[in-house]
Amino acid sequence: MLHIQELLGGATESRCAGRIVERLTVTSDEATKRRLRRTTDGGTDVAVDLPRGSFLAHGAVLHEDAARIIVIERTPERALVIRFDPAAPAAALLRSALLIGHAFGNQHTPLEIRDDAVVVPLTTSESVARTTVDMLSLDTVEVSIEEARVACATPLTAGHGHGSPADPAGPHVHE
Amino acid sequence: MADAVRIGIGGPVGSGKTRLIECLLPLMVEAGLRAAVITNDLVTLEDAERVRRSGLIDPELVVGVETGACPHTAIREDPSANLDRAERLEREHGPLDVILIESGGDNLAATFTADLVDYWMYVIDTAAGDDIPRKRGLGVIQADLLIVNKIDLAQYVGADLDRMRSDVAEVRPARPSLFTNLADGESAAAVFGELQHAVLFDRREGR
Repeated sequence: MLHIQELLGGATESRCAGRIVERLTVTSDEATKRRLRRTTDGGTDVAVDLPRGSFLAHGAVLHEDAARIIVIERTPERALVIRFDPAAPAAALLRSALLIGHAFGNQHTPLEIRDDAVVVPLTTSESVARTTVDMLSLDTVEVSIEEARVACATPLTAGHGHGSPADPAGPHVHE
Repeated sequence: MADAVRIGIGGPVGSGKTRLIECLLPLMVEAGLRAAVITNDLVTLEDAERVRRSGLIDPELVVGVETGACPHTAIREDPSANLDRAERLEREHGPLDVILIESGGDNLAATFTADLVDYWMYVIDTAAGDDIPRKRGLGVIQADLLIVNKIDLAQYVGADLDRMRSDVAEVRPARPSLFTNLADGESAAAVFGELQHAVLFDRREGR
């Protein structure tokens, strides 16, 4: 068992070049876990044991030695992708964004907000997820179902973000 | 271990969550692990009282949370009451190896936030309906460990256990599940074995 107690930066850093890469795949809902026991694609038994509030970003390095590095890989997940039409008027886009945020917020659905799209990993059937958007009758967005890597750099935006590392206000401190 | 490992237990009313705690506590004592328990109930402290009276644990290491609302809100949307109890237990009674956090009985969509627990189990009752796994509730799908409990009752209620096993394999292709009868010792040992492997990392006294 390889005991991991700290993250060692990103796999794109030059010191990692040329080494054998072993991958440990985790889904978006597992990426906020600080303790995880998994086997890499190279067969290494890994126990992740990090401080509270750690985040397993796509590409995060868990271990390195002379020959290899062990890297977190985000599993592609089936997701509802809502793309905003860049040619639509700003007021219409704002209204669409508010309605979409309200609808998924009411469901406490974790999702990812990108510059031009909202990506919602499916926790329901495709038709139920589509209905949430269809009911809003928006002509400023395009909806599709895709395999997407989400929460690569930061956790998904959840209902409240209490103590979440993604919370811009910082972790909630309990006295 | 600097911080206690926090393990959540969720599942519908009457599925065996408190029973699971009663089964795990002696195994944790045997492994030399110091455990505390937080139970969540709607408007009473029934489960906390039950665990305190069990004789399996120092009653001071058991605290209750009265959620007063949908139990899932206290383990996901706003876990502050549970976080407060967990931090207080560690401060006043630490060091602890494990804190078991039992949710109040809830619906199939209940999940735990990673802000509160490091790992969580979801317990369902075979006798409550053999169609539960294939309903794809978020709790059933996302739990680190699914426990299909009371399999001994399948024969009395006409539950199709083989169908349940294949449904579970389909909705949880990459996550472990156990079929248990917590009235026997073997099932509890299997659950504890999985916890030791997956989240406690085979921790024993003095390590």
